[in-house]
Amino acid sequence: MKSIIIILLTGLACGLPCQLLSATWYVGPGAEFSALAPAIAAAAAHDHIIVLAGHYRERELLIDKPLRLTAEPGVIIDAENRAEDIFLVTADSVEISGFTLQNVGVSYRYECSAIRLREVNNAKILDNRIINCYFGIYLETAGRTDVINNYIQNKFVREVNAGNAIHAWKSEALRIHDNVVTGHRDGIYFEFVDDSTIECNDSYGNIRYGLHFMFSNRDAYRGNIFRDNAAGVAVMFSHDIEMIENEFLHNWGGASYGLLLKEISDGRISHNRFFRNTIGILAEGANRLVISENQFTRNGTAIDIKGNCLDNQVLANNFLANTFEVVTNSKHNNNEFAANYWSGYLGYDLDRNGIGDVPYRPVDLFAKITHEIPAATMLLHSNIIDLLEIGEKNFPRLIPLDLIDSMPRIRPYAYD
Amino acid sequence: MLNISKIIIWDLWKNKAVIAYGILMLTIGWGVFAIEDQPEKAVLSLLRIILFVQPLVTLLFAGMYYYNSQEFILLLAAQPVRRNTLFFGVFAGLTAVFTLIFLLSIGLPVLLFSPNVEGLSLLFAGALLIFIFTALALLVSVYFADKARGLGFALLLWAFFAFVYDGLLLLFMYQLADYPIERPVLGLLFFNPVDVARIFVISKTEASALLGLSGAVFQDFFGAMKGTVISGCVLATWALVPLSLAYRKFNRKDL
Repeated sequence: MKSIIIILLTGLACGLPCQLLSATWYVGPGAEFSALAPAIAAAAAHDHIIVLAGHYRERELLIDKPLRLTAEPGVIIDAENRAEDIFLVTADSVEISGFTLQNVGVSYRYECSAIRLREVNNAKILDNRIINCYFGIYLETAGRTDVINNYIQNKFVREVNAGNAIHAWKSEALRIHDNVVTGHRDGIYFEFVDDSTIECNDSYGNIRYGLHFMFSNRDAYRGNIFRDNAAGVAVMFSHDIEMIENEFLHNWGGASYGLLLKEISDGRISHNRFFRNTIGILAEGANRLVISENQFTRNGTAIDIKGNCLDNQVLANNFLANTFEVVTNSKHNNNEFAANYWSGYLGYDLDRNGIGDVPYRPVDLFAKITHEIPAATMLLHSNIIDLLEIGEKNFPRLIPLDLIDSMPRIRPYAYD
Repeated sequence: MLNISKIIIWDLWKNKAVIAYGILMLTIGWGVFAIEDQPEKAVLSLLRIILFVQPLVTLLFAGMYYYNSQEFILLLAAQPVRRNTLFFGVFAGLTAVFTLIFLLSIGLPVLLFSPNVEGLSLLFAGALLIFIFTALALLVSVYFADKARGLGFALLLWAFFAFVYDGLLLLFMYQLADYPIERPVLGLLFFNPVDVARIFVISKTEASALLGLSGAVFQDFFGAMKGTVISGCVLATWALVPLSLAYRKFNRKDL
């Protein structure tokens, strides 16, 4: 009987989560440690370090064992504009939450950042404020890591000496959720990052891209807002990307667009809203994408699809009051346009099935003219252009004949 | 002058053509907003009306009215009324009626449904176009004694400003597409009041489309406060120059 109890107890003890056995350390004025570095050195794996309110001038904090670092409200760690990381994490299962990290200096040799994760898994970076740091959160070969609810802000002016807010390189299964990133070079930067999700972030006022994606596959981004970034969002050299329910707003400027697709394939772009961008979607070498149920409202050009894009499906989108609906540089069309609502459509619907009886050609003559002579943009909405347009719509000769929506909607696609 | 304007306004108010034009404009102005659920698209539709229909009606009607009331003007000229009072009275009466119709039919719905910079710039440009084309109509009518020739010329003038000029401009751009023609084209636009009004409105509504390579030159100019002021001044000049020319001619003319 006794032996059975002992066996049971031993069994239970083995199953206990190690956190219950871990110690808690306090750092702060009047606590056992007055600075973070000695506390980290003293703590054993899986310990919990709680930092009390105060202004700490520390940097180069190496975390090489699984620790939980929690900051009480009012904790500021200041790198005093030195070009060094504040936290460098090299162990798995580290959690860093609630800190305000500030003033990481700019370096041209080392991409120093507020929090750097190097070759780690299962890290959690939660609820931090990162102000005025060269790079915000730098993930270098990280796996299954959560970056949630951080606020990362800077006031960079020039691209050359600006860093990214959240920079991920060669990682997988990241979850970047609910962050606010602003004033950096790229809001979120992904390079060789697979199977990750980016959700509900707000990326605005960055001096290059709100989100920059390179060589990253099978990722999804949903519910993000990208607004007022100098060049919008770029998704390049990737495949199987899902882009759903994002908002692309006011990406404005000579070389600006809501979403740049370059050399990407097999993705899905659905339920997004493109409002007031110079170009809503610019697609170059994009293949087999499904672009459906998006709203394009008041953009300069809704979709600029180059001749090297093949087998994309543009279905059930709403094109409302865009100056140019579709622009292309090719005389041929290798993509499918169907069942969209075009606010430029003037056809009728005799059988009342909601689908216009006359097919619609969304590329207009003026788009072609301005493509050849950019100065002709000055004749936008001129009467002569309208007259030429009517002629061209009825007897098309110059615009791509086969770029056609054969079943345009009579009413805009209704969202639930 | 006010008395003459008042007489003319009352006279125009009973004119069937004016009533028909007023009803047409009211239907368009209010109807566009009723049909179109996107106010910015409605503003664009109205821009087309302002650039196409309104100059035509203003030009033809003002010219016709001048020819038809030539006897009345002759009668008044025989009275102790100064010629400038007479001339500006006619001008003020005509523009007052057209502006009133414009404000009721397009101004009110725009202010109600789209009270923003775009709407206001549309109203500003539209009102200035009324002044410009009334002045041009008087200039033509004062120069041509023969009604048929005068109206024919007015029609020609309208066609020129409404689309021929832009067609020539397009041709010019095609010929010289290899050169940096943005600035010359910008300059040439000022020689057509319809173009100036159009650009003035577009630079507020669809600036995004005007970006890009050559749009930059353009945006620099029209996007800023400077551009707004300059295009306003150009439009004002376009009203004042024909008006003063017509006045000079009218003053010296043997009625």
